[in-house]
Amino acid sequence: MTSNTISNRLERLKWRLMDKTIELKQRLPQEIYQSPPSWWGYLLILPGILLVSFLFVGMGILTYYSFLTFDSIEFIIYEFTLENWRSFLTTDAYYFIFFRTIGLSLFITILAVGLALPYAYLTIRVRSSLLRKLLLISIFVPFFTGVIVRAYGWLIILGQNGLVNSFFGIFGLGPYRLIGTEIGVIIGLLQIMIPFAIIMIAPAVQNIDRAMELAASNLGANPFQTFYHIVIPLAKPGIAGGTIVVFTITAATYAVPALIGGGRVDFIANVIYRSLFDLSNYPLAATFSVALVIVASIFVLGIFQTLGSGTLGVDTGDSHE
Amino acid sequence: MPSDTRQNNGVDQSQNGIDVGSRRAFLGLGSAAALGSLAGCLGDDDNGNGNGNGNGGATDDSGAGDDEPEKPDQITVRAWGGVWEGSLEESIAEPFTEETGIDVQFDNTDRTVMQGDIRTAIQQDREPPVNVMWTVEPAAHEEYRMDLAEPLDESIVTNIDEMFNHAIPDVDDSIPYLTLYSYTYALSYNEDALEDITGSSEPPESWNDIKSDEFENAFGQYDNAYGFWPVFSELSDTPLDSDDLSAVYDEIEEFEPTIGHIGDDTSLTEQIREGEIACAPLIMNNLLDAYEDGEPVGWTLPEEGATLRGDSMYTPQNQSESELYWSQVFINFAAAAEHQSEWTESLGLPMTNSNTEPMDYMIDDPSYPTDEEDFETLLTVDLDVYAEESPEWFEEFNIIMGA
Repeated sequence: MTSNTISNRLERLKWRLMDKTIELKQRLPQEIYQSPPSWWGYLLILPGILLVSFLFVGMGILTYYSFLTFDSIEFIIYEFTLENWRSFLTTDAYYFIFFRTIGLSLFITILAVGLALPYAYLTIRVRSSLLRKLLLISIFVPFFTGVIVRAYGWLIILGQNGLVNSFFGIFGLGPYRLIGTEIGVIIGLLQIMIPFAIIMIAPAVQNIDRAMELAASNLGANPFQTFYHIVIPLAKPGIAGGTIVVFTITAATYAVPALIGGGRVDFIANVIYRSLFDLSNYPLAATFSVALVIVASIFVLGIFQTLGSGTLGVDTGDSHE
Repeated sequence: MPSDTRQNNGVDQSQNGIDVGSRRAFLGLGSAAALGSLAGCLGDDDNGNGNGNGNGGATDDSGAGDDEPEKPDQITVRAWGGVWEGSLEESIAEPFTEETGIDVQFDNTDRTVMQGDIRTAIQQDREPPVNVMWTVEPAAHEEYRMDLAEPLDESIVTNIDEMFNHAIPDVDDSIPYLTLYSYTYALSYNEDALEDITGSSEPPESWNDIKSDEFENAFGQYDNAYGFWPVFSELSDTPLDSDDLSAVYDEIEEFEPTIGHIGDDTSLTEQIREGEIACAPLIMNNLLDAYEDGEPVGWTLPEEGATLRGDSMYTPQNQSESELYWSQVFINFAAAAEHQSEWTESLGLPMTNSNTEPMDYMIDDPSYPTDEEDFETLLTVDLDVYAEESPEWFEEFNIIMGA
């Protein structure tokens, strides 16, 4: 059989299929494909709604568990108690860990967004396409390795015999203890969070009209003044989005404090983990979880109110933008 | 292998039980009477392994007793990964499969997660997710207290008679689990790091020495100080079942500035090897490879002693008769001296079957308990007290560390 013959047969098959498809379409009621009913759109968002509703149901269950009684042998006794909340609200150590979580999350958010903004600006505005590609690749490459792998990498770099202390050793300094300290955790988290912030800020920088910067320059502003008075205010939607994303992820982080913090720089997620898996104290873990969600939600609402929802694109109607 | 050895083994075991102690004698006689029908299908005289312990009872396809429960295609054992699973597979599971034809699958679910899964399954009257739960001894006891464990049938798990006393739980009416090997939380150290701190590579002679300022951030601990509570108790001279544990918690406060790392086996081992911390109460076999490779690491028992623990196996409730039977045969395999001798070589831990030959390097090292005398010098905690009170201790430890 020649290739011509095969080709002709395939062509005939294709047209036959086309005819059948048109025939089938003509048999369907016209309304379905010409003016689809309005509820079709809702059908498409159903999976999303289901997933989000699971989250809300989960939060409801967590709240319910936070009022149940724990027993080391019976496990959970279905009697309501305020003991878990009392324990959470009256134990200094829990306060301390909670404030550390929120405090370090805020600090990391400020640093990550602050470092991400010039990076995003350079990535968008740089003239060399090669440099732009390199900057973009540098953002995405860290995502190819997991958080735990990166944390282990930092263990090697920050260790007593690691790269950083070897460098200090050249000058006769150190070795300094970085693993198991807040500095180590901050470095580890920053490296993870900066790419998130850049991804959120870059679209906002892209939307800034270049003519505005040129106008500022024509009026005598130097590059720093232009950046401060033009770029930062106009990049506010990206800054808001980046702030929300970085803060919420950092506040709930587990792996980096566990590995680089070496059990001495716990975040609230580490306490939740231990309550669940070491103590099997589900009610106490639920209490911490609900408290974390409440505090993080208050922070996010605060950002919405002051900076708007930014590149997250949620119109609350109350933004000051 | 002929299969009706179980009758003889069952009877012998009851007799042996009388020699060992009245509780076990009672249990042995009770099981011999009540489980006569099962005992009848446990195998014949040829099933022994030469030292009288048998190796798991009825096991082969040829001439298996008619009353023997049908063999499942496979059983599932919860296991730690890595060398733990590897050694169990090589020394226990493969011979088991070879003799019974039953495949052994491993489930590496975290032991605490698996505890919850088993509990949920039993509460919902479903079959448990695993047929054999391999877990740490205190967790096995806790799970027995939670009524998750099906008591071991002594006519099936015949090797119980050969185990050290420490391997058999001290409960009144049954043997819910069996501890298959032991380990100590010896003071493990890095000589170079010790030298940097104290000017000497010699380890501290007492746990109390570590409380000095020079050890600031140089001491490691397991999560929740797991494995150190008997030492806290010893140092504070306060039993852990006391109503007032403030002296114990004061000890933790004293150690707090020295604790630079809290983690699990893997991270503590790595931290000692790297010299990030100088010492920790670490299960000693974690450093064996590094020691044999000539790294500057070692372990010792301080004058107060160290905590003794072990890992155990039990069969969760709600299994089919067939799976329960063969799962207990599996545990018997794991307890047989013949298989324990192989296991101790691959795992590097002393086994609890008294007829098992320990490795040469274990014999003169008190960190490796190899006879009843060794066990008596080590520190333990009443497992009932542990099951009931440990969540509170752990929480207190975490509060002190967190603050």
